[in-house]
Amino acid sequence: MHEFSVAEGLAEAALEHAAGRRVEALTISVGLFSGVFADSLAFYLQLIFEDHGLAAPRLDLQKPPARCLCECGCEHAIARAMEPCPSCGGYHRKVLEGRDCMLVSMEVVS
Amino acid sequence: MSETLFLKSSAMQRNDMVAARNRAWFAGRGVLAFNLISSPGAGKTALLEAMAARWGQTLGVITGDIQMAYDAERIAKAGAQAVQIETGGSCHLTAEMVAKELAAQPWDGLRLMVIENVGNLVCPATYDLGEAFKVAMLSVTEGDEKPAKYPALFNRAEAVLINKLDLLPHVRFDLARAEGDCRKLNAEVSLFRVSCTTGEGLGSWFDLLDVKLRGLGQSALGQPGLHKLDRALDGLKSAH
Repeated sequence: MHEFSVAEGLAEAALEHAAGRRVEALTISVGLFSGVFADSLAFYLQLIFEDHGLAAPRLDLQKPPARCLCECGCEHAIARAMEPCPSCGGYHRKVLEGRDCMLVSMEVVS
Repeated sequence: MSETLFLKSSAMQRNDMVAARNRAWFAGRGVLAFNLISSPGAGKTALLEAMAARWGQTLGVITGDIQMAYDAERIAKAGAQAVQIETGGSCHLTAEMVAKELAAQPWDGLRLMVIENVGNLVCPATYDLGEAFKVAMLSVTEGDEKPAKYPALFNRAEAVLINKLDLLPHVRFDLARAEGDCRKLNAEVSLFRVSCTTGEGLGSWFDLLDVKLRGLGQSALGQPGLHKLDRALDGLKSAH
């Protein structure tokens, strides 16, 4: 249920950047390790926009693979959390991208 | 006229700004802080009672629950400074809630601060509270598949405590599987097998905290910097 406050954060950022223009579409990236459930995010975003008396924007919710850097030097992407490094088969790696839930871009109409 | 704006704006931006302030608060006072996350009933408060007996008033605890101040009362009775946040329904603590308590209490003589999150393996993982690191606790009665099912938390947790070891003979829990999955999600995780009831294994956990506390005294930035992988990767990047 924390998706509501995540949605609030996204809506707030969107409305701030829109600066009074109508928000037509939002592209949001939901990281593999973000702990955010994309379907409820969509539901809450719609609710929040309608609550502001605004039309809900089109949503493009992307779930990109997480980008990791392995200690073997291989930079790779994983679609599931426990997928090993394709090069060495190990798990000694750092998640470079995939923990965040982000407003990537938006379409506004003035 | 239609226009596309490219933003890359994090949903957690506001929380993360307050978390950074909390982190500066801890660093400025030389306090080591961690964020303790588990499901309800895994034994967080029992762990904190044991830690209170070890560190007394130098331990501070901010404990979050949906309602009731039972946990803060138990921890204070055990000897630590403790304050309760009643979230009134929120399933996780936010950096803002923690900031309010940091400002509201004197917190005299503090060396170690534990932020005991609301019992939940999902939502708390997403919110940075300004801690130095996250600790996950898992009890053997919950099942050995929990790390695999909650990767957001077990990827972020620097230490995992597997609690209620005294009950292991009575339940089906494959320690090797649980620990193996923890390592697949975070290869550098520190694993501890403990029983907060019998005290088994708590010595090693206290030792780790002692090492981190000593490291804090030596580091101007207040970062213990124990992460070997970070250093290895920094080396890799500079070699590229």
